[in-house]
Amino acid sequence: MKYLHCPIAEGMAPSDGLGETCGPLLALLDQMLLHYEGGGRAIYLHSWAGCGRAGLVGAGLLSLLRPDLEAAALLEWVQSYVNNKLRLRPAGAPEASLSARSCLRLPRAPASLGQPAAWAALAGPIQAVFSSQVQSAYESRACDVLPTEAVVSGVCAKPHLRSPQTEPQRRFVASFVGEVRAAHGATGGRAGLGT
Amino acid sequence: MEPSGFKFESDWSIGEGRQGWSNWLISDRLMLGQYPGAQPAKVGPSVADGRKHVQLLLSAAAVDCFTCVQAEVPPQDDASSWVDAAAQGQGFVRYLPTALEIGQTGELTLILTLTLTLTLTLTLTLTLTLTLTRRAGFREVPALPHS
Repeated sequence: MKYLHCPIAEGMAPSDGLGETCGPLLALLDQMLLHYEGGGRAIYLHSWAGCGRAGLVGAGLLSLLRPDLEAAALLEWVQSYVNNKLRLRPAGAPEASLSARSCLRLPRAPASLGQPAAWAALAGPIQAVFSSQVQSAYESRACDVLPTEAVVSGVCAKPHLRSPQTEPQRRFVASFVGEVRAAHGATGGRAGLGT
Repeated sequence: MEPSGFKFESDWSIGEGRQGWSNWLISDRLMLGQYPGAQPAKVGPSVADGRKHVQLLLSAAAVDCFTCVQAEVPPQDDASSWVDAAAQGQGFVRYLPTALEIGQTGELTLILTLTLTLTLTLTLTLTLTLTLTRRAGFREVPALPHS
């Protein structure tokens, strides 16, 4: 059992895009990729509610695996994750079948994910920590379970049901995706996770 | 639009309904979710809810790596910091020991199952061999003629 920890303050994102404050995040993403490359199976990535910071890091990893995706498509992908997760259903109601999963996999990965060049292009000095500013208390959203209709794909009126959650996080993801795409030549280096 | 939002069936009771813990972002490889244990939300999951979720993560999702991006909790593998956090009433319950315990139990169960299966297979093979040998009356198999 592996455990990784990269402290990010609630609602926050690295403050300078892919600059110095991004170092710990890049190191974390590197560790996650190494886990897969070393034969690891599944990673459970969590923040408190699983929307903001988890969405940010998940989007970052996804962009490295799929540098062909533009920021809007990637954000929509991440948003649809949270749309499902926060869906409230009556007690005892059955869940949807998972049978579709098997035919919706990412492309099989090449022998190497081809990350070293990307990291060399992206990673700055690993020295800074993220901003320590903490957003408002969790209570404001923890119990606010909303019906499905409150969420629409890609755009959500309720900030706490968005993923990544805050505007700085979403801006960061967009910037990150742009840098990754540039490093990969927009469509080159397509990679995915084999099973 | 790429495929996404792969549902993972693990939830906990909240009010009149059920609340999902997590979901796949990349099918079978990357799951995103909330803190997998009891936490200080006004109406949050219990310790038992958290344990059940972790059990499902290990058994049904084959999770072998937990990644935490919270600054408000100590690292799960730093037990002494968690003692301080508990003393400060932060309300998060450490989940990694539960995951390790469940993982070890699962490994032990697997080893016992494999051992039992191997023993049964060997016993059956030996019994079958002896039975066939007795029926054959220890006759030698004639050699194949040379061509």
